[in-house]
Amino acid sequence: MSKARVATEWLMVCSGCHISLLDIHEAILDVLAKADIVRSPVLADVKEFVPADVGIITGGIRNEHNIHVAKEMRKNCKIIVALGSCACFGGTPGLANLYTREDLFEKVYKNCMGVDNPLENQREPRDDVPPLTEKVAPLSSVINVDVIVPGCPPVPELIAQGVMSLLDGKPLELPNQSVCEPCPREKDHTKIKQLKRWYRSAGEELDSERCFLEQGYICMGPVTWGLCDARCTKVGVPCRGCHGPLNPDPVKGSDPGVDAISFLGTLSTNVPVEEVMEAFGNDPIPILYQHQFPYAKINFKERDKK
Amino acid sequence: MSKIIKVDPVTRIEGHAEIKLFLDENNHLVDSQVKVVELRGFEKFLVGRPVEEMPLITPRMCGICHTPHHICSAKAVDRTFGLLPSDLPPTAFKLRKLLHYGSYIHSHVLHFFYLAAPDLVLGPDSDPAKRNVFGVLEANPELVKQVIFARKVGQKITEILGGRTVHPVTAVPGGVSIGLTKENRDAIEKDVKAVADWLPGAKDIAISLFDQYAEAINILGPLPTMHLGMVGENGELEFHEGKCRLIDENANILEEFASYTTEYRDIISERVKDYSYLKFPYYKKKSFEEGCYRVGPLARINVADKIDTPLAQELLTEFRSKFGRPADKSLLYNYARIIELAYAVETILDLLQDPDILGTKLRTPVQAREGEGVGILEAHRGMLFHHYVTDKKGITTDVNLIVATVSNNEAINRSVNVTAKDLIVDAQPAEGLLNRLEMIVRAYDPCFSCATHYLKSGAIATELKILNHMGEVTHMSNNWESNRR
Repeated sequence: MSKARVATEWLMVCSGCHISLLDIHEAILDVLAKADIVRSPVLADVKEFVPADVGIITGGIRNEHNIHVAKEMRKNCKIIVALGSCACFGGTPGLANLYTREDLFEKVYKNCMGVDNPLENQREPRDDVPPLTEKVAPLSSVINVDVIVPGCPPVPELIAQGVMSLLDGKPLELPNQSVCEPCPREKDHTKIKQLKRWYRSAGEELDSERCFLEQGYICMGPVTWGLCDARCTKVGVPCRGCHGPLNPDPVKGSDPGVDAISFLGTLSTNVPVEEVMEAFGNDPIPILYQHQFPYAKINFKERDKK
Repeated sequence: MSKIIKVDPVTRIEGHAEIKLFLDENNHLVDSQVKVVELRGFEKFLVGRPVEEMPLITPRMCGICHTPHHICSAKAVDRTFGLLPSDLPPTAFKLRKLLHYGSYIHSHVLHFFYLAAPDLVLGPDSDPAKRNVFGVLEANPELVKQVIFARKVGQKITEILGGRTVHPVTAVPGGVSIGLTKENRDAIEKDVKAVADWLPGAKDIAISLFDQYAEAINILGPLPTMHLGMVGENGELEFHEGKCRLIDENANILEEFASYTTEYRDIISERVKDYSYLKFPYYKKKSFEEGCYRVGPLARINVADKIDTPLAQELLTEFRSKFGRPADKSLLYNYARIIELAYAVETILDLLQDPDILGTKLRTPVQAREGEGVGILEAHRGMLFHHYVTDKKGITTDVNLIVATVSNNEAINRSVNVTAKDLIVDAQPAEGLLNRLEMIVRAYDPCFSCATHYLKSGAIATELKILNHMGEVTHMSNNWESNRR
């Protein structure tokens, strides 16, 4: 049997998805027994795009160069895998969509502490650097994507399973469950009596065995796809939704922010709205959508310029 | 200026960058640029956040140095709440330090053996299609298996103490969210001891490669600059908490400043240039031209008077006898990385012996307040700065970040420039020559995905475009298609 040809690429990334890929450790040797890595800029020097059976793309779209690379990969690869929440949903950098490009430039190249900008009649670098797209967008906004693997980053075990099932041509059944399923914290299924900021957990008695929400801390676990084995809540930190919505589909799928507002509305009817807002630091969007703001189903307006 | 050679993308580094060389009619280098072509704007959208969320968001700047970002962020958060490093419970302070040092195993092994070593094991002129970790795997499968194991140990520490292998979450305001069990302590110790047993052989391999390429080390990227790095109370090498020291080209101390105050702002400014999204920090008390400093393994080895662990100190003594202090050749970053790997492994074993490490008091309570907090520590690639200002509700009103690769931006540009002047005498340089320029960039282990918290992207290859005076392309080639034409 001839070996499968696998290519990897990265667009607007932190590199964490590629690291998670390497974190399958020895299993990478099993992958290499079945596949040749024909191109992977982080690991190898092949610079041109080459034909491949599987193209793994991490990162979302932030500039014109990202679009070019995504399209070249689509042309060259039979199957495109969007690996990680940036590629799937726009990711944390998608929070930049709360602002315009101009706002970003103004802050980074003009208003940042200690900035020394001698450029005349302009603010941001423009000499042969790829222009930013107007908004951060998921990979599926510019090319057809065949497989999505969410997570920030996807856990190594999931990547190993996914890659091996692709190489073996066998479908992979993923559990349709929220983070609450694998989360061992006890739930009384009672109403939420109060909501408060996360930093306050240092001062008050935080029950290490009990559901964060029932103790009054915002946790995105109930509306987040539980492919992560609840690793954050197991080490005492509430979920911030890194594996994306329970039912990820750009058209018919669920919207974690809307779902979270819905469950908070249902469970915290006795909590004054000011207190709810306070728990979010008076700005719910970055917590509701830390990893998927560009994917939100609600059309949010940009922030007022300040 | 009549010809431009472009290496795009630079490969085997983290993030997207290009090298652009400008030649005159006689094919002499007149200018060069290492361009970073991405920006994400973290400094913008981190404003307005509840400050305790910062350690959960900022690691997303970098998937490799997520742990330093996470802990640095937590340090800055503690300061906004008014805590000094000494206000943390000793157990929390030491667990954060253990998590921090553990991540060095992952990152330094990754960089040296996965990214840089192929140039040395297989040779800078070897077939670009094979010049990678998979080629090394064919050439020396046993070494690669050991390397995979060593990295796994580093990531296991991150997973146990940080909760996840990438983007850890456990550094919370005032301390850490989980303690270390005796069982996990013992498991970490067993694994790290195995890495410690592997180290002497691994460093012999690395040092024999450096000896073999002694000439390349001399030629590629020699650059006298200042060096900035953290040292402990007695001038020893330190990654986690100490004072920040800046030395000049002759190793004289220019500045020493605290790692948790705004003093750094009197030391560093960031220049904006038109050709790169990445800013160019420099020593503020000198001009931009005179103010180039470096950070990272080489800078740290240069600023430290000594190392408090035996194998690393032995390696440092040998290093200094060969290259002096400060050592200024860019490729020596790789050598310094091996010394630091030994230091990290030895320090972890020491920390595991500390009775505090199994303590159960993990957090100091905090109250929201109007505050300003700076966290500085040594990320794998160099000194990292997080600076937050908060209002009375503990919401960020201003954010400043200086990541390691940004500090090295000017030095990387200059190292490539000085070498290209010598090496590039032809408008159609051989692939191996362009790879040598990439080796310089690679030596700094730049993390452009991290550095482009302003902006980001991913891949790197090299393309040669020759333009005539009309700006028309008269020749085009790149370093990956050489055998196809």
